[in-house]
Amino acid sequence: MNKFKYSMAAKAAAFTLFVILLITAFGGTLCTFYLYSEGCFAGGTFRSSRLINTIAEDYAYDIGNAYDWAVTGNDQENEDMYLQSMRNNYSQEYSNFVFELKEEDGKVLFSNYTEQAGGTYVSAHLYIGQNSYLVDGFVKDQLTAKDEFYINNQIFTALSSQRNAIIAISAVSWLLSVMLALVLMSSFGYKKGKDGIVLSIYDRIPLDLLAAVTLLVSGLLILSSGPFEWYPRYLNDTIGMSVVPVLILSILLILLICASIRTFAVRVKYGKWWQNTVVYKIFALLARLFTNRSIIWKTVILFFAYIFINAVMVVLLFSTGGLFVLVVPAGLLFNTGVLAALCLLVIQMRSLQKAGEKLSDGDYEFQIDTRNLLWDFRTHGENLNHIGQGMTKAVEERMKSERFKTELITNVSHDIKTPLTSIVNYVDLLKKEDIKDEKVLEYIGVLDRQSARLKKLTEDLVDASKAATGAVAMDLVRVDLAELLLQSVGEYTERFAESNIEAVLGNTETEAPVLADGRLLWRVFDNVLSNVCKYSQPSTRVYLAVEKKDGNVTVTIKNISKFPLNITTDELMERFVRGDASRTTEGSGLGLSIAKSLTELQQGSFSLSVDGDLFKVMLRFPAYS
Amino acid sequence: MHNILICDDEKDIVSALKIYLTSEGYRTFEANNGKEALLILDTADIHLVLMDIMMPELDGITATSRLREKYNIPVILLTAKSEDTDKILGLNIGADDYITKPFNPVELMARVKAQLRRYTRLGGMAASHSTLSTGGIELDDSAKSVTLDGEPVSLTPTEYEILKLLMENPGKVFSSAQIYSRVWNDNAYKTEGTVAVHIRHMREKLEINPADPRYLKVVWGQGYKIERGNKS
Repeated sequence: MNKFKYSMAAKAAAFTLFVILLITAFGGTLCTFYLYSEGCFAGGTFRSSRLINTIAEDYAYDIGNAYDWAVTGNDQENEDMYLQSMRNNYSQEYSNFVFELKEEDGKVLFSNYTEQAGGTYVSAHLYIGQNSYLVDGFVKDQLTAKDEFYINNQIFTALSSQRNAIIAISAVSWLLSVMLALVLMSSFGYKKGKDGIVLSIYDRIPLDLLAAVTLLVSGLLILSSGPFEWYPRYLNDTIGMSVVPVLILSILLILLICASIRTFAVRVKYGKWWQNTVVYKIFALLARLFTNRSIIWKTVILFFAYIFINAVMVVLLFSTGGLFVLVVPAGLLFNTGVLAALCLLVIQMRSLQKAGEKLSDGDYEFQIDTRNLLWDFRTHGENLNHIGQGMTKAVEERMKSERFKTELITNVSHDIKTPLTSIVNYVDLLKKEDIKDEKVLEYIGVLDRQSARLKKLTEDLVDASKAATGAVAMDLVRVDLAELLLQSVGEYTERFAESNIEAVLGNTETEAPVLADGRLLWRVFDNVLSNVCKYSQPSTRVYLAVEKKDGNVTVTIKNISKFPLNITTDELMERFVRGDASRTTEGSGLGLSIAKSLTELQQGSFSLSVDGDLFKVMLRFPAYS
Repeated sequence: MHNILICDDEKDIVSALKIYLTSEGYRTFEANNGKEALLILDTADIHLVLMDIMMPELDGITATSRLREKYNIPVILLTAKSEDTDKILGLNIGADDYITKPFNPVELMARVKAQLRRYTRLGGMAASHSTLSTGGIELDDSAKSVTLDGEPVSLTPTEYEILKLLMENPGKVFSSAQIYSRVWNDNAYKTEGTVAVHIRHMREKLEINPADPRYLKVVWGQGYKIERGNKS
C-alpha cells in the first residue's frame, strides 16, 4: 500500500482504470435502465419495443416530408422525378416498411405495396406545413432489407440476450470503482521522498473558488453539448456525429468530478480544509482587522456596521412594500438587541468601575469575576486583578519584613538586657564601696548615667518598633482626655518643679471622652511631658488644654524651647532625632516617634508645630459618643 | 535569718544578688537552672526564691509551677521580657511578684523584704471589723493607721481619706472629680490635678515601684482604684 501511495505511475494507472470503470458502470447502468424501460426483463422483444415505433414514425415522417416536398412548389416534371426516386428508395428491396400515405379523408397518395404483407402495424398522423397526412403501414415479419429496422433489431436482440451480463458488469464496475475510489482517496496527496500530505498547486486553490470554477466549467460543458443529441434515437446511431462530442464532454465532466473528489480527499487529509477558502480568508481577515484594533477602532467599526444594517433595513422598507411585515419586526428586534448589548457593556463597565473603587480604597484582596466579562472588559478586569494581587503581595512582604524587624529588635534587646543587669548591679555595688578617689567616683557616675541611658534606649527601641508595626495589644475603651491630662500633670508635678516650669491647665472641667487605650495614651503623654521637662526653658510656663470641637477632641501642649529649633517638625518626629544636636541630654530620641505611632494606632493624629521657640504638640481624636 | 534561693543562669547576676542579699543578712543558695532549684528546695529550708525565666534545662515558668505543687514560699520572677502578657502569665502560674531586667538593686531588695514580711506574717493576724485590707495594705479605721506588709505607713489625713474611700470599694474606679467631691466635700472642682498629686504621693509611700504600682492603680483617662486583693 505504501509503495502504491508513493508511486505516481501506479496511481495514474489506477486513476485511468477508475475512469474506465466509472464509464463502464455508467454505460452499463444506462443500458440496463433502457432495456428495463423497453420491457426486456418481462419478455419484451424488438417487436413490442418503443424503438420499433420510433423508427417507424421517423420513416413515416421522412416519407411524408419527401412527398410533401415533391408535390408542393414543383412543376409536374420535377414532381414525377421526385416521386419516382421515392418509389425506388422505399421499394421493398430496400425497406422493411410497407405503407400507404393517405390524405385525411383516406385517399391514398403514395404507397409501396406490392403484395399483401403481415407484420407490426404502425399508424401515424403527420402535419407538414398546412397539409396533414396519415401513414398506415407494417413492419414486415421477415426483415429482409438491410435498413434501420434490420440493424436495430440485430443490436436490440443482442443487448437483450445479454441483459443479465450487462447488469452483472455494471454492478461489478460500480463495486470496483467505489473500491478503487477509496484506495485512490487514501493514497492521494502522497509524494515520493516527501513526508506527510503534499499539496499540488491545484490543491492550493481556495476550495470555494475551485468549486465555483468547476461548476462553471461543468455548466459550460453541458451547455456546449446543446447542439448535440444526448440520446441516440436508434441503437445504431452511436457512430453518428452527436455521440463523439457528447462522449468527450462526458469524459471531461467525469474527469472534473474525479479531480474534485481527489482534491477534497487530499485537503481533508491535510487538515483544516475549510481554512483554504476565500470565504474563510475574508472572515479571518475581518476578524484580525477587528481583534487587533484598539477599542476606539472597534467602536467606530461597530458603529458603522450598525448604521449600515439600519440603512439596509430602511432601504428595504421603502423599496419593497410587501416586505413591510418582515422588515419592521426585524428592525425592532435588531435595535432592541443592540440596546441590550449596550446595557450589558455598561453593566460590565460598572463592575470594572466598582473594582477600581475597591482598589483605590485599599481593598487589594478584591477580585473581579472575569468569567462574565467580554473582550476588552475581561482583559481590563484581569489587569485590575493583577494590580490587586501585586499590591497584596507587596503589602504582605512589607508587613512580613516589618514584623521580622520588630522580632529581631525585640530579641536583640532581650539579649542586651541580661548583661545590662550585671552592669547596673555592679555599678551600684561599686557606688557602695568606700571609695575616696574623686576621679573614680566621677567615672562611676558616668557609668551609672550611661547604663541608665542604655536601659532606657533598649526599652524604647522595642516600644518604637512595636508601635510602628502595630504589634501592640490594645484595649480600646472610653477614656476621658481631660481626666487623663489631669492625671498626667499630677504625675509630672515634681518634675515640672525640678525643671522650674509652671503647668497651666485649660478646660479640664468638662469630660472629653474618646475611644482609646488609656495605658498607651499615658505613654504618649509621658513621652511628650518628659520632652517638655527636658527641653523647656526654665522659668517659663507649659500650657496644656483640652478642646472639644467639630466631633473631635484636641489636646494641645505648648512650651518654650530651651534650644533654638532649627529642624523641621517632620524631622523631630523621626527616630533618633533630638532637639539638641549635641545629644548630651538623657533620652533615646525615640519619644516623639513612639508617641506618634501609638497615637495613630488608636486612630488619632499627632502633630507638631514650631513657631520660633514655641513648641506645640497637638493630639486629635474623634470624640466618643 | 532567712534563706533565699537565687536561680539564674547568668553567674554574674547571681554573684551580684548574693552580695546584696548577704549584706542585708540573708543566707543565699544558688542554682543555675530550674532543675537545680527544685533539688535545692527539696534539701534546704528556703524562705524565698528569686527565679529567672529564661534558663536552660528547665525554665523559670515551669519551675515555678512545679515548685507551687509543694511549697507556699514567695517567688519573685526576674524577667527580661517587659510585655504585660509575660507578667500576667508569671503571676497566674503562682509567682508572687516580678521584676524586669535590668532591675534596680534597691527595688529588688525592697520587694524581697516585702514578700518575706508578708510570708512570715501570714495567718498570724486577726482582722478586726474596722480593718480594711488589700494585698499587703491594711487600714485600721479605729486607729486611723495604715500598715504595708506590717510596717506602719504615715499618710496625711487627706491621703488617708482617699485610701479609705478606695479600699472601701476595691476594684471600683473613681475619677479625680469623684474623689475630690467625696474627700474634700466640695463640688467646685478646679484643682489643677490636686487629686493626681496626692495619689502620686500615696503611691510613693505604698508602692515599691511607684511607676508600676501593684495596689494603688491608675486607670488612665478614667480615674484610680485599689486592686481587689486576691492574694492573702
